[in-house]
Amino acid sequence: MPSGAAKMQLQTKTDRTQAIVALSGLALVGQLEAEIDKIHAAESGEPDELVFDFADVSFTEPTTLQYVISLTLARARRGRTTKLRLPAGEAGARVRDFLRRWRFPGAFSAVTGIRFFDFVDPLDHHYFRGLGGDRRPTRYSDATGDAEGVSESSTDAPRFFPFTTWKLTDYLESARISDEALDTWSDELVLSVLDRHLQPVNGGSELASSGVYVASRIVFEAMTNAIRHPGANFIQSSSVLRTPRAAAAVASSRTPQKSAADAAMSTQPDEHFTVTFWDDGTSMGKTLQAAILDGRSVRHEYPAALDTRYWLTLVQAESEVSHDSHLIDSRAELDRGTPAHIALLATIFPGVTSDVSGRGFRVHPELQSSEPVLATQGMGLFALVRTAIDRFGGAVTFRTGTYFMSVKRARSTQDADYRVKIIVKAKSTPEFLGNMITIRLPLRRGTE
Amino acid sequence: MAAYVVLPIRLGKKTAERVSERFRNLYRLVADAFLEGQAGAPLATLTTIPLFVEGDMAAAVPAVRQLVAAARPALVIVDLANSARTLLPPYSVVSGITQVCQEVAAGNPAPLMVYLVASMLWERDPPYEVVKPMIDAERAAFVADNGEVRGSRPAGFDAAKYVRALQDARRSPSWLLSRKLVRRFGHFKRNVAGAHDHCVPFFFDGIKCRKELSELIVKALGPEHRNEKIFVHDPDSPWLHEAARITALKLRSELCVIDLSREESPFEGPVPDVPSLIVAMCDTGETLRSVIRALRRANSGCRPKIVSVLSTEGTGRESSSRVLEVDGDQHVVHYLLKVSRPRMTPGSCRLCGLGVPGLSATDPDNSSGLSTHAMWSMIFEAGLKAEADVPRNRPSLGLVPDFTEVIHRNGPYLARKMDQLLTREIRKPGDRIIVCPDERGATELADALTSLFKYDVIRVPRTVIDGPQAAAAPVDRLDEWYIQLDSLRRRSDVAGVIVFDEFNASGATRLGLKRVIDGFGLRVQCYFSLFDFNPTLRNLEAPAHTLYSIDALHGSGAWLEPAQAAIDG
Repeated sequence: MPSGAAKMQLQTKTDRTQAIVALSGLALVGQLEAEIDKIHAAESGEPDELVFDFADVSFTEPTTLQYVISLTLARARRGRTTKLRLPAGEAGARVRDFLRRWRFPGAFSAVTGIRFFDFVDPLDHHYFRGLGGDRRPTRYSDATGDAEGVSESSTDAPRFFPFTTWKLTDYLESARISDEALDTWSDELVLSVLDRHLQPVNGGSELASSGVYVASRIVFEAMTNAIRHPGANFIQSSSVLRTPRAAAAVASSRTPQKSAADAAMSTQPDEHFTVTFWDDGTSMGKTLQAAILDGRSVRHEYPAALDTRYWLTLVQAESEVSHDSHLIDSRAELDRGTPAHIALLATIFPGVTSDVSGRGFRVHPELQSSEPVLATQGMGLFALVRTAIDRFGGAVTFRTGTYFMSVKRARSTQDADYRVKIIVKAKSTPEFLGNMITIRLPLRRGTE
Repeated sequence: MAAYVVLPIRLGKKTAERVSERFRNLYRLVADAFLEGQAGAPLATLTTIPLFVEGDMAAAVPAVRQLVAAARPALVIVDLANSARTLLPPYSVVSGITQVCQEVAAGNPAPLMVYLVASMLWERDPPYEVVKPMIDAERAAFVADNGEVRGSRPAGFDAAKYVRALQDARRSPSWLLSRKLVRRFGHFKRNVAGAHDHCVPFFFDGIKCRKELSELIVKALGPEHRNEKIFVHDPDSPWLHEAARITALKLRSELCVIDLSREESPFEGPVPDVPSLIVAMCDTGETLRSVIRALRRANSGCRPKIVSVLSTEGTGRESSSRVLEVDGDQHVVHYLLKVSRPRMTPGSCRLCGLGVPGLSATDPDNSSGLSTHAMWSMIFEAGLKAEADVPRNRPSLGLVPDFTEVIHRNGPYLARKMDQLLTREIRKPGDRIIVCPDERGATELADALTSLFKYDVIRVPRTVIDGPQAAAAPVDRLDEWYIQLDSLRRRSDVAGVIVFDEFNASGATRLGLKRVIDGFGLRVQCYFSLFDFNPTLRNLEAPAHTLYSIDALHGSGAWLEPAQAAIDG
């Protein structure tokens, strides 16, 4: 199979249907999900057993692995079985190291309750170190995080954080989770690395620390958003910094005939910093829509300077038809007639709260009514999106329920601040479990 | 004179505190600059405004409104830069404070608003957008930690002075280093040329001081060393590697690790004439000499700029230097902190005599209790003293360890052990609020606990603890401890406080503190003492934890005499 290709195989064994999704080369989340969607669209529907066949995979990323966790958990709740074939042989050794180094097995088990050993196809158990596999030195140094919360140390510290899982019932106060995440991201080494690799775009101020902005406006806001989602039991986060050197290494691993210099040239888009947040709570768009339908106030006044226009394109995955793109203003009316996809978009509007149930706030109702000027919630995701896109030139994607939503800077012809693409998944595709937000930021050039 | 008001917001905190004199000086400096020397006294006794979550803002606003309305100030300083965590101010807080101040001033000239922030806000950040119209009207400014001002900057504002005052208010990196550097006890065997040479009773661990270390190292190297290659030698101190990495990132320098065990090529790449060299410790200087020789073998003209975090010799206690002679050349070694560490030769090491296995400095230290060796090493070093202030309800213990001195010398280590134990016992992360007697030992431990682990420490005067009805006794409501406990009384989300005393014997201090806490309607989460002389005392309604216990009340009363003999001997 050529690099970057995918193959889907459906078969029926006795009375159980089995599907195998085999990826080759890059295992990226979009491609993997597209294959899974095809399986669901098939006549046999959702298979009883699904196998992620990563035997020929030479590269993957935390976002893909997060999708695997979410899908496996959702399938387990529906009584379905899911298995994983590990990247095979010497060619797959780097990815196996990556899975270990990013603590994927622990993250998988913490959420699904399934032992990673049981998740992996028995044919691949020989790769487990406890059974004698992969004894050679790892490509990545081990994280040396300890009880004191030291994040990362040693030589590949800038590659960033492995999967971290927060179980909400472990906390008396969910706000502690945001604080914990902030502490980790406010570590001096982390801030220094981010300051070095991220820079403001479009003449943005250099005075403000990039690291502090990522910690305060992206990590803290994403975590604060996640803990407010009704029904959430777990929150997970992971991140990766793919510097030119690392990107070149990946490129050379997938196209060994190229020189390292060629590989570096051809992989410039791969140089990025990506952070993913996931929770298993109710879909954020659905939560907002329910509040609107309940007639509750989801809006708070905000300065006109924060008015924002979105160039929205809606795509129906089933028919692959794009509706006409059109402008939506952040002051657009939100009422009982608001469609679900607009409710999802509205979660990133300024002044629209994602905390309609008030989980993250402990304001006494009397105070809230007597101090209306203070009820200025609803800037969290707006600030996150604005920071990621306007400050760092990045992009933000949301995967939740039946929707995929991407937000980027608008093109100059669109007379808008952001262009938003919302894909409505086919009816055959089961709802995505929870909310996954991925923030991808480009790196400053020449920092290695 | 013009009036000014300060709103010292502390995000992520539940406990209000009195603003320290050092912070008052900082605010005074800002007020003087922005009011062009016309600043009067601040119009209120300053206590901090804790906002554990954004929603707490609504509860704080009535007092803010009242204060601003009564003062009609010319200037409002909103301190958003000195919270428990480095967090850019949330939109709701900036928006709320700004709107309240404008609303109160309606019909009158609005006060000049100055917002102190940890890092300068970006022009399109939502909180900045809220303030921007006032900045455009020259009625507001942001001041960042580095002294940068955005908005109306007065001619008299001196950025360097602001940075110094801020550092003084927060405590200098050197002060913090001394409060956060852990002396970790154990039986550490040291080898020379592969053979056991001597033992040391403790190693230094700077894992929690990386920020301070990098700041001090950058300062010691000086701006001229920007972009210069940095060598680091740290076989026993992995924490130094991280501090060096941060330093290299800040100075845009290449970082190169020296490994003397690789005799042929102890490092990679060329050696410039004046590289930077960072080491963890300069004791006899032998290891450092080996490092310098290795560099000079690659470049005979190399004269590195050397920074050693610690030194056992030198003229000053901190940020000083010593001279090291290497093959006839003299090298200046800048060090950050002077320390002492005994060395035991194989014949004189008690632990070797007992056959205790040696530890490596890189072995993890995750046990939450104190080993007998660690406890008695600290006691032997600090000495013993006759017990003072013996309670009437029990006989004197005779000699007792000098706990104040034990804590003075080992505050960070004890704080770490205490945190490890409490984290294990109180499984759910939550408030870490310590209530303890206002005494020197507790104060030193409090410094370490707040610097290392973000604990809140409430120090209650002994007169209040020993008072017959402490909670009902007349107190000064402006006392720090009263302000702190009172601020917690008004919250419904405080899980409980931890009652701490250096050592427990009769339990009288615990009971006195509990009476005080009861008076504020708060719950005791657990009791904690470093040393428990009466471990069988269990008439408490909450669990009691200790780092080390020994039953001293049921013996002859002369239990420490052998220890005194050992110290004397």
